Amino acid sequence: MEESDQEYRRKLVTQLKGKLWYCLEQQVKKELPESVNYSPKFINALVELCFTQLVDIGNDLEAFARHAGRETIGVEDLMLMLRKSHDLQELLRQKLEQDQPAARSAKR
Amino acid sequence: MHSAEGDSFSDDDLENFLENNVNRSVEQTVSRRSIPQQRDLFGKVLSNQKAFYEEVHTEVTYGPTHHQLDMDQVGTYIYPTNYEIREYQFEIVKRALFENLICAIPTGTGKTFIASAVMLNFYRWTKDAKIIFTAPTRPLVAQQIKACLGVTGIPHSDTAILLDKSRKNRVEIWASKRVFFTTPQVVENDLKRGVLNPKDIVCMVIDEAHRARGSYSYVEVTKFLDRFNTSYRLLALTATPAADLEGVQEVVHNLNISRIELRTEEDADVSRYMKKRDKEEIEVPLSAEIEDLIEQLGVAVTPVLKEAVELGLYDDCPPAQINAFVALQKSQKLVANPTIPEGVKWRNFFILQLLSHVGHMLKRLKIYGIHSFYKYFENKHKEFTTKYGMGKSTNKTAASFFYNPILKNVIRTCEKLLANPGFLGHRKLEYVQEELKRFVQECQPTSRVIVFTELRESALEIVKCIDMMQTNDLRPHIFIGQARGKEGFDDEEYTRKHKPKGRKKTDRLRRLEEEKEREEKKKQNKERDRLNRMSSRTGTSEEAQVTGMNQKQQKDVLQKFKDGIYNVLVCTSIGEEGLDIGEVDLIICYDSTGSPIKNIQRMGRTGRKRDGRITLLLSGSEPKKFAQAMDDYAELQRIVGRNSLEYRPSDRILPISVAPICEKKFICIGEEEDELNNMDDSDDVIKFATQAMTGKLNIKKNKSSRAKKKVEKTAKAFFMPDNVETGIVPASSMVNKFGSDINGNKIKLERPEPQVDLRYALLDDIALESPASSPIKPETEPSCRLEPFEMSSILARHRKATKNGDTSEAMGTVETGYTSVFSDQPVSDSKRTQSSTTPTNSLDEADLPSKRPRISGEAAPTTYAFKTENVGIPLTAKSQESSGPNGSQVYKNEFHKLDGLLSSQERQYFQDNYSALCRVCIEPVPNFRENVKTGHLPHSQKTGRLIEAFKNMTTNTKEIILAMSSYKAIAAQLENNARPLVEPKERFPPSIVVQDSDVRYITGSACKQMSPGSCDVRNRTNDADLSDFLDSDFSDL
Repeated sequence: MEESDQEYRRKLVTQLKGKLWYCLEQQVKKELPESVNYSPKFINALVELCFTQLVDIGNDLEAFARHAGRETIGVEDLMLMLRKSHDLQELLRQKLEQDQPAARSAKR
Repeated sequence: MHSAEGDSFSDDDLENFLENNVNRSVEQTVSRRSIPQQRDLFGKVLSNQKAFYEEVHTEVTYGPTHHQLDMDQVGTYIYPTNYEIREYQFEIVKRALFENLICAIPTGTGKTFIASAVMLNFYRWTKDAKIIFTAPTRPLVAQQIKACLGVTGIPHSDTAILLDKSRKNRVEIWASKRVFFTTPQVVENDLKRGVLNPKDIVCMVIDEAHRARGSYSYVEVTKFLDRFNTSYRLLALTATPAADLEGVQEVVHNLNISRIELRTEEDADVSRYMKKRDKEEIEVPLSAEIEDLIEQLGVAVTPVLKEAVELGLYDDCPPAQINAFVALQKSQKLVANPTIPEGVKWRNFFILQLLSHVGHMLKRLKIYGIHSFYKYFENKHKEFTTKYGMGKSTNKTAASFFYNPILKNVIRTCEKLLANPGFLGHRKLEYVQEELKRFVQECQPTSRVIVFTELRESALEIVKCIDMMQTNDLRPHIFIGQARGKEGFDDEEYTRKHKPKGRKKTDRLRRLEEEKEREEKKKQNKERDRLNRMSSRTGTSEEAQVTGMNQKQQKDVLQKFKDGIYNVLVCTSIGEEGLDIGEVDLIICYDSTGSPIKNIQRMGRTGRKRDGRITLLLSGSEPKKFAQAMDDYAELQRIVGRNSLEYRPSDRILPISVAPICEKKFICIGEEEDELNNMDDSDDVIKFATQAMTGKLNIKKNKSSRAKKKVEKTAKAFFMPDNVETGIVPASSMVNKFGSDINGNKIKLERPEPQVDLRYALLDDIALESPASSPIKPETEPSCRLEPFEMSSILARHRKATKNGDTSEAMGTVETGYTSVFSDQPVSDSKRTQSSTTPTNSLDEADLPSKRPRISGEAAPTTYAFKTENVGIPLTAKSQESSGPNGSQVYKNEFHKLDGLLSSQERQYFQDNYSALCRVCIEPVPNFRENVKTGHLPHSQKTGRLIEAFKNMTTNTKEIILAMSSYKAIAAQLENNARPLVEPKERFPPSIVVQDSDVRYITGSACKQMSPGSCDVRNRTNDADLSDFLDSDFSDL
C-alpha cells in the first residue's frame, strides 16, 4: 500500500509538473521580448521553483484552514497568507469581487 | 582539431613586439586530442589529469628578401678551383649557401676557403649588400684577409678592413664598400651607433665561433641584427664548437644555426688531405727528489689535513693527493655561506686556504718540476713568515705548516738542487731534451718545434733547459701574452711599509730621504738585472717572462720564428688558437689541459702541409685528465651527430624558384690582388688593405690628385624596425586603441566620443575635463573631489527627477527602478565614474550604520531615501573589476569600472576604524555563514527544498534530466493537443499573477477531451480523482 501510494504520488507530481511546465512556458513565451531566448533548463528551474512555492502555499493554506476549524480552504486563508503583501491582497480582493458576481451567476 | 594560430611566443618579450616588423612569420598550430580519462570505481573522473594531448607545431616561414638580387648571377654559384677541390669543402659550401651553419672541421683543413667561396657568391648575387667577416683578434683578421682576397678575386676597391681604432671615416666606409674584415666589437659598436644599417648585411662569417656564448660580441651582434633583418646568411667557423652539449646548443641558439657540419681527423674525407700525425703520449714518472719533496710536504700538512677532515671541510685523502681546486671551491662556498658564525668561518677558511696552497705546490711539483714549485713555495713562505713575524697575521693554521721543521729540510734540499744549473727540475725536461735531440737529427732548415705549457715560469724553464743543451740547431724563444708578470712578494718592501713610523717631523724627513734613496737603488738594481739578463743567450726570453710581451714583440718573435732565427717556440696558451705560426713538425705538450678544445687546438698546429709529430708529456694525474677530456669530446661528436640538438630554420634568401647550379671556375686574380698573396707580415697586409680601402693605393697610378672630399656629417641614425610610428606618443592615447580583426591585423578601435552632459551642475568642472583622458581614472580621485553627503543629496534629488531614465535593456528585473541613476548612458565617461563611485560609497555608509552598533556619533545620513539591496555587490573597485559580469547583472546592465565600490582609501578607513567584531563586512562577497549568528541555523523546509532542487539541477544527475524530459514531454503533448484551443475565453479577465485563462484552458481542454462527466475540476478535492484525471494520457481521443 505504501508503495502504491508512493507511486501515485510520484506520478501525480510528474504530471503536475508537466502541466505546470506547459503553463509556465506559455507565460514565458508571452513575457519575454523578441530577441531573448530561453533554454529548457530555465523552464525546468521555473517549474521547480513554482512547484515548491505552490506546495508550500498549499501547506500553509491547509494549516490555516485547519486552525480555523474548517476542512476546506477558503478565501480567508488566502488573505491571511497574503497579509504581508498588501498590494497583492488588494489585487486579489478586487478580482474576487469581479469574479464573485460571475460565480454567482454561474451557480445560478 | 586546430586551435588558434597566432604569433609564437618566444622567450624574449621584446622579440615579440618586434617580430611583426621582421621578415619572418611564425605559425603555431596547436593540435589537441582528447585522451581517455581515468575514473574510479564510482565513475568519477580522477583529478589532476590532463584531458587532452596537445601538440604544438611551429612553422617559420620567411618572406622574400629585401636585398636587391642580381638576377643574371643568381642562376649559378661559383666554386673556385684555384686549389684542389676537396669533397668536404664542396659539400659544405653548397649547404652553407642556403642555411646558416657551423663548420666544425679540424684546424688547417680549409675553413677559410669555404668562407671565401660563400662570401664570393653572396657578393655576386646581391647588387650592393654588405658582407662581413669577423674574427676575435686583429692578427686573425689580417690572416683571413690575405686568404680571402687571394682566393676570391673580390676587387679590393670594394673591400675594407676596419681594424684601426679611429672612427674617422667609418660612416663613409660602411656606406661605400661591400666586403668588410673586422673584429666583432667594431661591428657591434657601429650597429649600435647607427653608423651601419643592419638591413644592408647579407652575409656574416664568424671565425672561432665557439666564442659565441654568454654576452660575447658575436652574440650581441646577432641579436641586434635579428631585430631588423632576417635575410642574412651566417657562416660559423671553428675547430671545436664547444666542450659539452649545452655549450653547443647555446652557440646554435645564439647564432640561429640550422645545421652543424662536423668533421674530425678520423673522418675519411678529411683525413685524406691531412698529413700523417704521429701522436705519442708519454707518461713521465716522477723523479726521486720530487717524490721525496712530496712526502715531506705531506708530513708538514698532515695535521692540518686531519683537522680539516675532522671538521668535515675536506674529504680524506692521502696528503699527496690534495686537490687545490677542490679546496678553493670549498673555501669559496664557505665564505658565501651566511649561516656559519664568523669565528668558525674564518678559521675554516684559513684551513682550506692552506690546503689549496699546498695543493698548488704539489701540482707544480708533479707537473712542472722543482723550479716552479720552489718559486711558488718560497714566495708563499716568505710572505707568511714576514707577516706573521710582524704580528700582522694570526693565522695559526698556516703557522703550524710554515714553521714546521720539516719545511726547513725542504728548503734546504731545494736550494741545494737548484744551485746546480744543470739540474733538471722535472723528468719531463729530460724527455724534452731527448725529443729535441731526435728532432735535430732529422731536421731541415725549415723545421720548427712548438712546446706548449700553461705556466710562464715553466716556459722559461724549458727555454733555459733547451739552451743548456748548447746546440746551435736549437734556438728557443718564449712566446707569452701581454700581461705583466705577477710580482713576487717583496719582504723588504713589506717590512718597511709596516714598520711603526715615527710621527715627528724629523722622522718624516728622514723617511722621505730614505725612500728616495731606495728608489734610486731599486732602479739601478733593475738595470743591472736587465743587463745581466740580456747578456745571456736566453736574455730576451727572460726579460719577456718578467715583463710580458706586447703585440709588437710578439710579432717580432713570430717573424723571427718564421724566418728561422728561432726554431723552437715555447708558448703558453696564447699560441694555441688562431695565430698563423705556419707549419711545425713537432709539437710537445709539456702539460695537458682539462679542456679538450685547447688540446685539440694545440694539436692542430701540425699535420697540415707536412707530416707532423705530437708528443704529450703526462705525469701525476695528467694521463687520467687527458683521457677524460678526450672522451668527453668524442662523446660530444657523437651527440652532435645524433641530432639531439635543436636547430633554428634559416632564411633561404634566394627565392625558392631560383636554384643556382655550380660553376667551377678558376679565379684569375688581378696583379694588385696578387700582391697581397706575396705579403707575409700581417701588419703589412693590414697596411695594404687599409690603403686600398682609403684609395691611397691608386695614387701612384692616378696622377690627378683626388680632391679632398669634405665628408658631411651624417645624422646619427637609430635603426627602427619597419612600420613603426616614431615620435612621442602619450600612453593614454594608445590605451585601448587597437584591437585585431580576424586576420590578426591591427585595427583601430573607435572610441565613441563621450558626450558631455551638463545636467549636473556641480559636476561641470569634472565633465569639462578632457574627454580624451583615459577611461580608467585612478581610484583615489573621485573620493577626493566631493563630499559624499553633498553627492548623495544631489543624487537623491536627481533620482526623483530622472525616474524615467533609461532602463537597462536585457535585465527584466524588478530592481531597474533603483538603478536608473547609475545606468544613465549619456553621462560622459569621466562624470560617470564620479557620479557612481561616490554615491554608492555613501550608500555603503548608509548601510553600514545599521550594522555598526556603536557608532552613533556619526552624523547618520538620513537623506537617503532609497534602500538598496546590496547583497552581493562587491564592495571594492578591484573586486568589481574582476567579477564584473556577476555583480553587474544583478543590478545594472553596464558597469564602468568604479561604480558602486569602495575606493582603496575608503576601504582603508574602514579597516582602520572598525574591526570584524562590529560585524562590518567589507568582503566582496559577504560570508554570511561565518560572520553572522543566523548563518548557523538550518533552512526552513521550503528553502531547503528549493536549495535541494537547484543543487540537483546544477549537478546534472540522470534522474533530474529524466524528470525534466518527462515534464517537457507532457507539456509538449498538451501543446499539441491543445493547439486548436488557443484562444482563451473572454469572460475571464487576465490577471497578473495567475492567468485564469491558462488554467481554465488546461482544465478546459482536459474537460473537452475527457468524458463530460468529470468536467468541473474545481469541485474536485479528492486526490485520487485528481490523480485519475491527471494520469490519463489523453489517448482516449
